[in-house]
Amino acid sequence: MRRAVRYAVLLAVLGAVLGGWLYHQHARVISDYPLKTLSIEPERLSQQHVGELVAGRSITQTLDWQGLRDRSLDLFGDQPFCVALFFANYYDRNNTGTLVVELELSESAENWSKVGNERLNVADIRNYRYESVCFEGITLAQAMAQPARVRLAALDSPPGRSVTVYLADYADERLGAETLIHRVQVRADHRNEQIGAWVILAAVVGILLAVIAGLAHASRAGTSAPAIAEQRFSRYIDWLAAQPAPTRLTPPPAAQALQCWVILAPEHSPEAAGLTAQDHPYWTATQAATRPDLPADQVLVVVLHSGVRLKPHALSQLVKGFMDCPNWQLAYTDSERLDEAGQPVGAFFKPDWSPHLLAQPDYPGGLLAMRASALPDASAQSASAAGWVALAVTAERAAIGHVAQPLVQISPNAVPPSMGSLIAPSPIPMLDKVLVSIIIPLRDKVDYLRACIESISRNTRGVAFEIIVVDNGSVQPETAAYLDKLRAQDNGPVREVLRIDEPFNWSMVNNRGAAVARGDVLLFLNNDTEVSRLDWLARLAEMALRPEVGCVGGLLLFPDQTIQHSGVVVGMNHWADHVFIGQPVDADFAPPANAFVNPTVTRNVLAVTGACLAVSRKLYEQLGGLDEDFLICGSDVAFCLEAYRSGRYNVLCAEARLLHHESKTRSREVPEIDFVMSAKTYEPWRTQAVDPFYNPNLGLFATHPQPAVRQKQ
Amino acid sequence: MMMRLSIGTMAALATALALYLAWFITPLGDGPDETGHYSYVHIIAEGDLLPLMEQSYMVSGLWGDDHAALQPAERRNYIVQHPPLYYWVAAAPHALADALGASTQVLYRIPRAVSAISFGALLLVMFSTLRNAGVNPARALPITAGLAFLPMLMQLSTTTTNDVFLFLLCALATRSLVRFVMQKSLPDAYFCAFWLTLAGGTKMTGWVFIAPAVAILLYELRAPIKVWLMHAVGVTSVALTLPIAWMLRNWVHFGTPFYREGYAELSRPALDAQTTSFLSMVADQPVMNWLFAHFHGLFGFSGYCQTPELRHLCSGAEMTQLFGFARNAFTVAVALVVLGYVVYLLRRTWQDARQSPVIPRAALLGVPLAIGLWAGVTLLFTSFIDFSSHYEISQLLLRLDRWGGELAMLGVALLAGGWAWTRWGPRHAVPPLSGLALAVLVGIAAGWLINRMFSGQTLGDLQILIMSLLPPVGLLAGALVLLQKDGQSRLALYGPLVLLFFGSVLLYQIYQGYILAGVPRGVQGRYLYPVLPLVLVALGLALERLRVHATVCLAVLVLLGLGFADAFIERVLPFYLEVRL
Repeated sequence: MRRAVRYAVLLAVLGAVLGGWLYHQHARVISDYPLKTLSIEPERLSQQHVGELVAGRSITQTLDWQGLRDRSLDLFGDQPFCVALFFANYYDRNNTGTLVVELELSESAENWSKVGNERLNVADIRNYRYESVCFEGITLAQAMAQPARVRLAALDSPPGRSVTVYLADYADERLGAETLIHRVQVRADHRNEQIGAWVILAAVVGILLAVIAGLAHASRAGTSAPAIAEQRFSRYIDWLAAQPAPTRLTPPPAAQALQCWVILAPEHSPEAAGLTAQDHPYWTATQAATRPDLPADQVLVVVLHSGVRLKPHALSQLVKGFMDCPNWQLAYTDSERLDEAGQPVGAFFKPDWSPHLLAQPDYPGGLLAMRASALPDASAQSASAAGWVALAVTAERAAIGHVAQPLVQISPNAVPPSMGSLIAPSPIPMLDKVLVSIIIPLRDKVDYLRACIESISRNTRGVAFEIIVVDNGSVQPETAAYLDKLRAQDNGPVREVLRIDEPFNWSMVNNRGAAVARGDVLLFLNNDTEVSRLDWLARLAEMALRPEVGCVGGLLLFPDQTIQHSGVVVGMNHWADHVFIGQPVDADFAPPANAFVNPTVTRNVLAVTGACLAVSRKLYEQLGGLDEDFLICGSDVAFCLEAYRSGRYNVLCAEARLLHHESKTRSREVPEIDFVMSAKTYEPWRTQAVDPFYNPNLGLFATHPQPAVRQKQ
Repeated sequence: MMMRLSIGTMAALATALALYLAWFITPLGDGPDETGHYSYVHIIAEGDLLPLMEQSYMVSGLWGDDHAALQPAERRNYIVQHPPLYYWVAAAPHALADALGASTQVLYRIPRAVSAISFGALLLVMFSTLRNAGVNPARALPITAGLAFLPMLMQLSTTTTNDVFLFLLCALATRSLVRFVMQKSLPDAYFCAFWLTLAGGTKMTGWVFIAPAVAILLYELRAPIKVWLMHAVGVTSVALTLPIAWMLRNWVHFGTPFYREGYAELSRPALDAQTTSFLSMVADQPVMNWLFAHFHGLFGFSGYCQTPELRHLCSGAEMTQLFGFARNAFTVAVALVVLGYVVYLLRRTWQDARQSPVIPRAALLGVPLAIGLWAGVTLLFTSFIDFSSHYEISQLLLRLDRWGGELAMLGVALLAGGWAWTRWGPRHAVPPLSGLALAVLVGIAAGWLINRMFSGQTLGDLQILIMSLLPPVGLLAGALVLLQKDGQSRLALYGPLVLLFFGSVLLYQIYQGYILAGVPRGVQGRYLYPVLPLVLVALGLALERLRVHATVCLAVLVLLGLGFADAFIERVLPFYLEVRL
């Protein structure tokens, strides 16, 4: 609120400055709008000034009524009479003094009577412009009734501090010799146009302020950074066509090159595997696990599954990856699906190393590579897919490379190899002595809470739990009644009901709940969720207790069985978004319909939603809890990112399938501070790097994964 | 949210200003041909939904003046040559107000509201279009707001005219086109075609956008041949339905699809086309300056004081361009944006030339060199004619041209390009490429330097320079577009190419009019509105790729805003007051 007021004040000040300046620029012209010029100026043959108008100097000019426009008297006869004289103020210097302009009417040739007397401040006279004087009380009709003349006289200007007027010769013979350059005018009613001018100025200022406010917001929110523009493709072959032609790498001399020792499945041949077409010449194909007679640090073991064919530049790109990243001990690549005719129809764009991606076919894939120096021994068991997995389980995160290019082609009848079942990063924790604290914040809407708690009570097996309800400012009587009832239940699932009467802050409310929790695992759960699978909590808890795991989220579904949450991709839609949101959970997620992992299988993600977030108490305390600088959104993602930065893997646990009533179309007002905090904490994945558990070949501006090409800015 | 509030506020303010000016300031009849446009609306509101040209007349005694009720037969309504879509829309509020018993003063102004509201909608659509193209909101917002500060567009938005409505429809078509190119979603292609056909049902000048837009749609429609054919036919059919229907109607009634009032009379040329070349027109007539100036603002055109009912109430000049700070601010703003685009284009050329295979690289080498030389030589040539006219040197030698001079120069340039190609070969494209960029710049700069001696306006030379850049920029963009693999890069190049196409058609029409009437006709910058959204997309993407900071965009916008205020307060309102007794 304070920021909004500050904003408004700043804009108001800016508007006042801009408006004031515009007023200063145009006020004179606008004030002259009512002056209607009626005389038609004949062509000037020459012009000269009369010299400085110093004290005592005067000039008289007879007015020519024949030079007025037609119908002037009819239309403007009753308007005040004015005359404009053409002045010069050299170099717009600062002058001083007063000029007097008198109107004299004649009853006869010698008898002139003064009927008007107006003054001009010399300091206000501009260079080479007309200055008008109106004679109040004298109408055009009165002035035209008889011969008239104006007399210009200087009262008190000293030499060097005054202005001058111009005389001219005219082509009109009637005017004859030198005549003071002047115009006959009236003061008409042009208030409409004057108001219009102010309206225009106000609109210009308003439009500029609106733009400035928008830009200021964009700058604060970080959207002034170049957008990562992308083009998405609904068909993989279109994406393929948009790829630059592969650059043919010049192979290094054999002595410096990595030698690829390609281990083929028994029914595979070098030709069928695409080895003979490789642009990397240093490879040896074998079906026996006999390592070539070369130093281990010069050998790359490549295990190919049957039905897998290498693209011509596959080995060179793979070798390049290992050469560029000396840390890599192991690597895998994205893959491409072929149809019966051998044409590419889809791809599997994989995430970076995801040890908990258990049930996804073709992961890590049909091509697995490892440095021979990383193998524990020269046995066939080591140089195999199982050996690769055994190494991966214990390897550092940075030691497992992912070449994000579809370098291998999978034939349609090949059985996608999956090593997920072999992966066991850590033993499954025993849950018999584990307590899970479920922390549920709420503000009214008690029916949701009732359904949530009842479903937990009814459908939870395999692990002990307690529920802590944090009531943040509920006001409805039925809420109070239900919470009283919960408090009164001695053996009920709810151990504690906290009451917090402070402005809503999602992190603060959950932190308060965590402070009174006794569990080994904390589960932050929204009150508008329901559970149905008996093992949901056990699966979350056993995952959260694994030493290599950080935060664990559930697979959340809308009531219409579409996906609400199956992991958060940081950087999606400029900030962070739920990938696959809105997709039917039973949709076809196999390639070519889907280019990414199946959202209904457990996998690693960079962040999960706080609507259902499990974490071990130990890690929660180690990370210092949820960041209360956020107000509503973003602290869940920031918390997960902290867990990832601490070296752990966050997990989307698909076995924990919950119902989430959150409206699919609800528009949430996100406070400004949440954007600022998100911009600060989401880097580098928001703008500088791609979420490692997504894929750089997938679009970031649509929640359904589609092949895309990012623009290099 | 804040960004939406900003763009919404900006559009609302612009709309409110247009409505205010329409109701209280812009004199009735002061829009281009407003008497005819209003009469068309009036006739439809009376129940004649498809009035036929040559049988339709101006409403007599319009604008509250009853001094000169002309006989209807004296003034046929030539505006009925336009297709009726806009007039149907504008007739609806007119008929409603009439049914509610509104006064004639209200009825005269009611159709103006359609233009004003179209103007506000245009700003919202343009912002959305730029965002869809991938332009950051920090750049999209000032670019969009720049449209609100175009005096001519604001003036048109306050009058009864089909121009702003057409502009809106073309912006909607561009938005769908952008979405289709970026996302390859077929529904957007059909939406684009739908908006295009509505544009064709609004004004036949929509053709100059419909044709290239359909071509782009077909080019972007990458699919197996059968699918491509099916959708090509579908998209083209949808896009052409209304314009073709209107042309058929003209053909049935008048025997020619592009029938216009006075068609037969103008077919007797006032000048000899054999001795009056296009170049001589450009040299002798201020066509280029006028195009630029009239795009910025031409007030009183065919308006208040050219309306027979009101002419006797007028005095002095009957129309005015905008001069002084307003014009200079606009010129500098346009020059800065164009400079940004040229920098982007040269960078793009450089990058593509280094990466392209042999044949495209040869094209890249030869085409811009030829175009650059052609543009430079043409400009020098016209300057020379100007020079010779100025000093009364015999023009005989210098007017041997017709088109032979350019063709010869083009041939020489192509030869030079070919020689450069054989000399340096594909691996050494960069030195000749920088040479040709230099040739473009030197040629244009030389023409500019000579031209500036004779330009009567402040920054008039800069205006000529900006317009002289269009041929090389448009053609170079056309060459580059074939090399781009991603849609966004192509979108950054389509705009100048389409503008060049439209500009060429417009200049040809002006030349034809010059031959027929003896004076340049139809030198109206507002005719360019249909292609402007695509041009703005290209400029926006160029600024995006160059990472031009939002502060720079804001500075240019402030300049435009100050120029806009100056235009209306120092020129337009005094003109209205001055011209009307």
